[in-house]
Parts: sequence; structure tokens; C-alpha cells
Amino acid sequence: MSELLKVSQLHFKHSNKKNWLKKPEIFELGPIDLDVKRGETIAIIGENRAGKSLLAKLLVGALKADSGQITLNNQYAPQGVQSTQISHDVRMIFQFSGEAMNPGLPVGKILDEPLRLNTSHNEKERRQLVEDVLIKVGLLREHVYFYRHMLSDGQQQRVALARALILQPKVLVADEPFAALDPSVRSQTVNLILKLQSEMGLAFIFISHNLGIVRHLADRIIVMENGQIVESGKTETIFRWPQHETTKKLILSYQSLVPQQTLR
Amino acid sequence: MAQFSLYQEEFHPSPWQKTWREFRSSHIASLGLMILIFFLIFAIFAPLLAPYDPLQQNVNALFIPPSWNVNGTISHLFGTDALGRDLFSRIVYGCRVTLGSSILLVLLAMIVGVAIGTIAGMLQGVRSSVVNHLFDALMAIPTLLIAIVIVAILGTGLVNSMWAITLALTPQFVHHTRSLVRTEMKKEYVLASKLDGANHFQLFFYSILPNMIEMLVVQGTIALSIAVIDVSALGFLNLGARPPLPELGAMLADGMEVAYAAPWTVALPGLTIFLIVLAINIVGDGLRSALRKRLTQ
Repeated sequence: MSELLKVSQLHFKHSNKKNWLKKPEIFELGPIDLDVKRGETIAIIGENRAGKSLLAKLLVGALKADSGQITLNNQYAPQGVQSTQISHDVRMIFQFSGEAMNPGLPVGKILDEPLRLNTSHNEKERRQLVEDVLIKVGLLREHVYFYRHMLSDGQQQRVALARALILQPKVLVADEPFAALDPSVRSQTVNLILKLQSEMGLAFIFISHNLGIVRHLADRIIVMENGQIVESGKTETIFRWPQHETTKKLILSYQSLVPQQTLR
Repeated sequence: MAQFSLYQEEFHPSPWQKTWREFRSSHIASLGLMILIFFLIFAIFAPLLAPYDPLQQNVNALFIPPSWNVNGTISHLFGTDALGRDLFSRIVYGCRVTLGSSILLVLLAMIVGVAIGTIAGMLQGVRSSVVNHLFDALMAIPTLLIAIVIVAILGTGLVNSMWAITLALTPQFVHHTRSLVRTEMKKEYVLASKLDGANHFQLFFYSILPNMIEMLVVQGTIALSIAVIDVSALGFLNLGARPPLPELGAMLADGMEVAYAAPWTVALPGLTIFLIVLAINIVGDGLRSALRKRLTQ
């Protein structure tokens, strides 16, 4: 399996300098090394304020890292917003998919935008692609005309997924994609992602607090604390033999929730 | 039993259709809109609707009272003024001058204000602040005073008073646009568009502008009512439109001299100004509440 995305020595320092009366809050992320293979699923877990979302934003290029580099397909990918290569091949699903939809635009226009900006298709072809991707994520053609307030949370999640998939990316980065969904819609979405992953050969990196889903979905797990990767490894290894304190704490708290005896 | 094919027929209104429905459900707002449309038709089709030339003087028909008076004639619906000009024609043309010029200057102030406000909203730090407060000095001076200064430099006239009012109305558009652009820029859908590779222009036109139209409509109606009052006030004080021009404020000032002999020359233009401003305010108020209700399902 070839390496698709390679992150080496990524470093980011966030300091709140605006208010000179307060002691500046400094948050440091990294240095982070990460390899993603084709078709692989990686879960990022950790406590709040561990820098998980920040890492996700750095990966898709929403933020510019201070040092370190991201290589895509063994090509150096320049950092920062508006690098076409990254926006093409690494796509993001935001934490609150509802807020990532423009309330003043119908779904068709929202999905049309990435195509308009990144491809040279004409209007008819774009419309066809939009309809195709809507059907692929389990929505209907008519949803082109729908606005945000007419869609349920699950449907909004699907639109966010469609938006991420429409450019046929190689890597999908999702920030807590299942947090706001009820169990049945959640498992539908999980199955949908698994299906699309096997169809399209996507690498999928996601952040989650739900260790049940992590165990079900992920090939590998990364545990973060205070901006550092403290442990990483195969899912089953991490769940059975956690090494680091934080990992132990997370796994224990998960196991205490799961009933030890199965029902007969 | 036969199998029925049931089709779910659901009507999903767009945000604008929903706003329109909310707006129509308020009777007062609809009435205000009707009055406003009535005056707009006057303004647009003035040459077709006015029975006489508004500047044509007629020595044989001085001070004819309105048609509902015992001494009035139907040939002059609202009577005539001191120079024998038909008051109805003058009011129809007056709507065109007062309301038309107000709409024009509000549009101009809106375009300039939104452009500056957007630049201020997209810039960061001190530069944003400087651009934002560029026109604030104008807010400290009342419109009338700015108008007097401009009139002192350029001379009186409708166009000069329009410049003064435009300058006075611009800062509030700048402020509202800037605060709206700033809050929108922080939202995730703008970040999502940025990740799609949108530059600042594309961000503004495709992501922010669709959400800005509501603010523009509400602010525009407020500015329009201020503009109508200011245009006619400057006309009344002889700082704006000069008397032969059928401007409602200037007509009011004309009539003041003969108010005892011919009260209708004052009352009718005054009533017109009152109705125009009232209609604009009612429509603005209705729009505001309709836009607010639209967000609650």
C-alpha cells in the first residue's frame, strides 16, 4: 500500500496576542508525524483541548502551519488556504455540518461552488455531477432546490458529505461527523462512509469521542494530548493494551459504559 | 383493494417566498405597500397621469379650490395655486422629484456604503477600523448643516442637496455592512468556501451577499424615509430644489405665503409627504418582522 499523505514535523503555535492586559494563552501543536495510506481509516481521539480539530484544520489547509510539511502523493503540497491541490484532494467535513451550509443558498448552489471554482466543466455537466453525488449520498435529485432550514440534521450531514465528495478527493478529513446524530442515522452514515470508502478508495481521517464507532470503523488510532500525539497504533492493539495514561483513561471510561456481560 | 400511488405534494418555499407570505399576513404592512406602490406609479408614470403641465401658469384660474369644495371644478381635481398651476399635476410630478431623487440617493449611498463596509469587514485590525470610521465625522454633523455647507460652496439646487443627503446616509450603511461581513466571515460556511478556493470577491458575491440582502432591505427602507424627509425639508428651507420645480417641500414653502387664503396649497403637499413617509416606515417595519419570523420555523 502506497503512502498517500505524509505529514512530517508539523508544528503550529497559537498565541492570543490581541489582549495585552491578559497573559497570552499559548497553545502549541506538534511536532506531528503522520502517514496515511490509500483506503485507510484513521481515528483521532483525545480529550477536549487536545488539538484534534486544529490538526484536522491544518491537514486540509484551513490554517497555515508554522513549520513542517505535508506531502500528497510524494508531492510537496504548499500550505495555507487556496492551494488548489489540497482543496482538490483533501476535503473536510465540519463539526457542525449545519453551520457549514450557507442559509441563503439552495443545496444545488452550495454543491456547485467547489465544481465552479476547481473544475472546467460547463453548467450542464456540473448540474449532472451535483445530481450524481446527491444520489450517491442517499438524497434525491429534488434536494437541489432545498434550503438549509428544510433539511434535517442527518440530511445536512449528507449534504456536507456530498460537498466533500464532489471533487472526488483522495483523503476525507472529518471533525466529529457523528456527534449530533441519533443512533440510527449515525449508523446509516457510518455504513454510507464505509461503502463509499470501498467504492472510491478514500482515506478517511476522523475525530470522534465515540469509541464504539472508532473501534468499528478505524484501522488505526491516534491519541492526542496537549497538542502531542502520545500514542498511535492498530485499533485492536490500542483497545486491548493501552500504554499511555490518557489512552488508559479513555479506554477504561469507554469499557465502563459497555456492559461486560452480554445478554443471553 | 387497489393499490394507490400516493405522491407527497409538499411545497417548500424559498426564504424569499416565506418572507413574502409573512409580510402579506400583516394587513397593515400590505396596506402600506399598496400606498407605496401607488406613489411609485405616480413617480414613474407622472407624464401620463398628470392632466396639465406642472409649470404651466393660468391667469384665468387662480386659487380654484379642490373639486370637493362647492366652488371647485372637476377640471382641477386638487384646485390651483397662486399662479394658477394645477395642484394635482404638481403633486404627481412632486412624487417623481421627491420620491425618485430619494430612491436614487439611497441606492447610491447603499452601493458606496456596502463597498466601503465590505472592504472594512474583510481587512483586519487598524486598517479595518480606519476604513470603517472614514465617514464617521459626517455623522456628527446634521444633514441640514452639511447641506448648508455644500450649498454655500456649490450653490443651491436639488442635485447639491442630494449629494449632502447621500453623504449623510453613507456611514450607517458602512457600519452595518462591516459588522455583518465580520460576523459572516467567522462562520463555517465561509471557511468551507475558502477551502474550495474562493477568493475574496467570490466569497463576497456567492457566500455573504445572499445573507446580506435582508439587512440591505431593512436599512434601505429606514434610509429612504429619512431621505424623503430631508429632501423635502431642504426644499422647504429653499436650500434644495428651487420653487418652480414641483418638489413637495418647495411647494409647501410656496403655499405658506397664502395659507390663509388657500389652505389646500399647504395641506395637500404636506399630506402627500406624510403618506409617503408613513408608507415607507410601515413597509420597513413589516419587512423587519417578516424577516425575523422567517427564521423561526
